[in-house]
Amino acid sequence: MAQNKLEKQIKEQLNAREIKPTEMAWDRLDAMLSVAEEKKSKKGFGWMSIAAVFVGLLFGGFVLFQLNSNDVQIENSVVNQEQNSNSNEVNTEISNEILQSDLEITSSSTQVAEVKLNTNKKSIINQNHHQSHQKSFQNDNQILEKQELIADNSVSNEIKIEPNMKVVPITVNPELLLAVVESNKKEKSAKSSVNVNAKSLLAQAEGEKNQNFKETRFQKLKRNFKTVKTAVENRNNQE
Amino acid sequence: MKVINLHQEEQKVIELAVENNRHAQHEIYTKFSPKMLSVCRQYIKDIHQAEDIMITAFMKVFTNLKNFEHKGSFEGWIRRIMVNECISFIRVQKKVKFIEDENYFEESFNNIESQFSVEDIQFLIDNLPDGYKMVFNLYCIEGYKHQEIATMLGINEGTSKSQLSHARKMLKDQVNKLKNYSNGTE
Repeated sequence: MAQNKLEKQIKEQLNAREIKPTEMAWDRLDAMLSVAEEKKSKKGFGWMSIAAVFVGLLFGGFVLFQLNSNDVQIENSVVNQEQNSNSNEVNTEISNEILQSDLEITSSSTQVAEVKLNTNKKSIINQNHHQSHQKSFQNDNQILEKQELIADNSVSNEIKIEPNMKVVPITVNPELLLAVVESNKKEKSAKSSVNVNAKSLLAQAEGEKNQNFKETRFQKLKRNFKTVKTAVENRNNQE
Repeated sequence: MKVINLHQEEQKVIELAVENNRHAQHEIYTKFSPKMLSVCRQYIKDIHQAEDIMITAFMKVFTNLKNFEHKGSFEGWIRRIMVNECISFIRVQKKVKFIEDENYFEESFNNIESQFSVEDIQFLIDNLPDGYKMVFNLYCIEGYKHQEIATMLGINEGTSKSQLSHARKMLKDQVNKLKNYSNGTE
């Protein structure tokens, strides 16, 4: 079916023809192009907003998860602190006991020393008994008083000193001892106050903080979700 | 040299239009719209409807401009988009159905020798049924082969051929009528 003359004529004439469109045609096309561009940008923004919401949710979830794990950690730390305080108590008790025993030992040693002194004095007194009776009498009285005091002390401390027992004198620095005792006292007082406040305060503060944070977070999420929802609805309505 | 310069200029304008430069888009529109409206008018009888289709097709041109590979002529690419838009409009809006008829006969215009104005030609084409008109335009004016037309319209090659022969016969009858009318015999 080859083309004939008439068909060639039709083709030439139609191809040469030009029909000028109306003035409004370009304006309409321009408007359509603008709308298409806006839609494109809105689509991009829509995806961006959806992505932002997704990221926000992920972040919120992560924060909540972190908070929960922090709670567990805080609980653990509280338990550890309690354990530490208990161990401190035990340590301080033990050290106090040791100190007390040291004190007892020191007191006993001083007493022993005094007793020794007294016995020496006694011997001296016995030796010099004939020299000065009055002096010895006074000394004896003093010694007797001292012996009585010592005996009382020894009874109160429940230390029985046997005559054949060898006692090794222990030298203790009194300043150091005082410092240790004072620090223990401070620790005890501090520990007791922390022990009392830690549980109640921590639990109360953490609970309030968590609740407030969760409430604000959920409110924010709710608000963002509403805005996104309205934006999507508006876009759908426009389409 | 001038041809090369023109080609480079066209390429620049296309690149700008791809970036949604409205000035470049307007330049393309003003350059090709008269020819493209003529193409649309071949298929659509109503000029306003033809203009609407041309605008829609230009929208497609600008949105798909980044897909133009600069291999063939730019005008040919735009023209194809216009033709496809017109065909899809006719098929969707007018619900054209092709009757599968592979019995066709050779029809010749060779015995018809007369000069017609472009308005007369358009009048003759407008009077053709949509199916005949589409195949005639695609084969005789756009230069597509029957196989291509069959693919475009979703019909058999034989149907395309038979539609063309029917269109030719109808045109011949009309031309004769027009000739008789102009000679004052009718």
